[in-house]
Amino acid sequence: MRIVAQGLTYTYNPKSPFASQALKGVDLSIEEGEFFGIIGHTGSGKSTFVQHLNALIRCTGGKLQVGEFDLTDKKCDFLRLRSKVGMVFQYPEYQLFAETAEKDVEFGLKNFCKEMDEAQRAQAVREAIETVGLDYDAIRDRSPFELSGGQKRRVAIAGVIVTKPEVLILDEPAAGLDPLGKKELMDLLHSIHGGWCKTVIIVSHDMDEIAENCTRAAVFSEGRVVLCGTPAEIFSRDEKLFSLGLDVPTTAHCALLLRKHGIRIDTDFTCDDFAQKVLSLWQAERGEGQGSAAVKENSAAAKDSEEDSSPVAVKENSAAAKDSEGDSSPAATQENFDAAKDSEGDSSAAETKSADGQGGDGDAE
Amino acid sequence: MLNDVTFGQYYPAKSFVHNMDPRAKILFVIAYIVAVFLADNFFGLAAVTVFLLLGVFFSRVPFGRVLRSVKMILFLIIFTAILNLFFYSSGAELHILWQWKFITISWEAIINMVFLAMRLFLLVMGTSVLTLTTTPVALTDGIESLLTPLKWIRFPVHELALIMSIALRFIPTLMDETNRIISAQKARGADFETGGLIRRAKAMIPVLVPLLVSAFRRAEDLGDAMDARCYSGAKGRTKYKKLTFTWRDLVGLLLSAALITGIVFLNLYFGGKFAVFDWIAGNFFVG
Repeated sequence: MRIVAQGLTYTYNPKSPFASQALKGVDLSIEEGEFFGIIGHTGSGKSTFVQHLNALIRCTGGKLQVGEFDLTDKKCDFLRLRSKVGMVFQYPEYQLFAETAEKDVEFGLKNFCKEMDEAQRAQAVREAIETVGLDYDAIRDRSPFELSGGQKRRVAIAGVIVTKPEVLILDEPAAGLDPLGKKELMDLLHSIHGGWCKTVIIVSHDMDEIAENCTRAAVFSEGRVVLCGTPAEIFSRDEKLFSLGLDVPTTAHCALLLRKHGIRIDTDFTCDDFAQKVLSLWQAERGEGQGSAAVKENSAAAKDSEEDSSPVAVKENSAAAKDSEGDSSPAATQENFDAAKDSEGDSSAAETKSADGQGGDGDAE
Repeated sequence: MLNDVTFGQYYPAKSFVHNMDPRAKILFVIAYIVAVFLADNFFGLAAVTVFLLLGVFFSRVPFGRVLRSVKMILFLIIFTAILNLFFYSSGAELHILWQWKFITISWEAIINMVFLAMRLFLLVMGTSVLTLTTTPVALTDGIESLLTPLKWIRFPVHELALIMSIALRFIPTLMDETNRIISAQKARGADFETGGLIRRAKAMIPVLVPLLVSAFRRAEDLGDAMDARCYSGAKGRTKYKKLTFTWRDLVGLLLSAALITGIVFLNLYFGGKFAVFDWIAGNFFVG
């Protein structure tokens, strides 16, 4: 389903002293099949915008078309729209209410797919719970309130994806999760994206998350879309983002630091690509044939000469990242990039960190 | 749909009435209410209306905003007015206007109806000027201060005020939470707008359960936060915002005294509400 918004406006508490215009004319189109990111600081209108997409907020100004649904039309079938456009709110675990996890997941199914019989419903619930990586038989009869935080969130997400929406919107889905949980969640989204779920839209503060996962993204500021494009396009406008009070991914920070030392790296800001680019640059400069053991020695030696310190440290970490099959390495590499960024931090600390990161990888698998 | 209640009634503005001490305002409103019930004829009500208009004028709240508070009880006003119109009776002889079976409409009934509707109207308008110009927190502070004498009989005034302010403080928070949960359940296809009473009540379960859970979580957090700041009740506690009595409050109190005195005089001078009727009858329907 293609989503097209034209000149979308919205005002909270209109005609009162508390009136505040959240959207001041949003023009944005999201194509089917995208993994779309929405960035913006608090109060930029991003949540208001996504709530328009399944008519939780009714259109009051401008145009909005979601697939075949014209949301400015008052006769629009909102129930059918909501079954096609799933919405996972921030901290979705706070919406759990039923006596058992199974019943909670079933809630949306009962509302949307009234023609389904019990067996079909049970099958769909099982599928949804297994999709989010939980053991259906172990969890179905437990109260959602006695589950752990991560399990609660999974059950809540299962409650949304149980109807297999074509568009899935997630507001800060990774907020409050540990790094492993975040990674698992993103893996989950990628696994359903491209199947029945055609389009994924995530709202996020975490630029690394956007850079790593999204095909395209939009930056909201003061009720308007100020930047829209691929993460590579958006994050190359670092000054614009900084002036909006936003951040860039860690890889972009590193690229910025390197640029200060006269090294330009053309990257799309994903960790893999960044590491590749740095690696090829380094190989071009030093010639090939040097193993990673030599690199580690070099990094200790390079500590004194400030100019070389960051690239070499990055090289070392990217090598470590490559070792661990690039699985949960993004987290590890980021940590090490942080260490590399800090040119005064001694490299033994960086090495310990990288060792920690690898230990973490072991746990992950 | 719940946004109207989120901010309560308070209308932010800078004005004479906004700047008054909440205690003075509360006392003034009490005097005003007494005056509304004390007034026994239309002259008295007119005097109260003048006070109300002055109050609204000096509060700089748009008149329409104050009127909106009447909208909520409009039904009540109309209902009582109609009942009074058809079923008024008193010991005295009535000047009957129209009669059909057991329903009668008399001049007295009409006057009584208008009188009653005006009373209710003035009552609601006056109290909403108070809530429109005073923040809930200031109101609780005022009530706490006015109730201080009750401490002598060991009445837990401070605790009561604290409970009130916590309750008021959490209304917007819980409203937000409610809206969020309603949105989340709507996104999962919940339908709160159709069906009969029982169906709708049932539809609220997916909202009320998470709300209750989160209210308890918040209560626990708040309790911990208060413990962490060594809260131990009223003893030895000072105030951040001290209430101060200024010339404005003196003006307010003098005005309320003047209002009540004026009403008493008007009552004595012009007699009851039907005196007007007698006067009209005496002048136009002689014989």
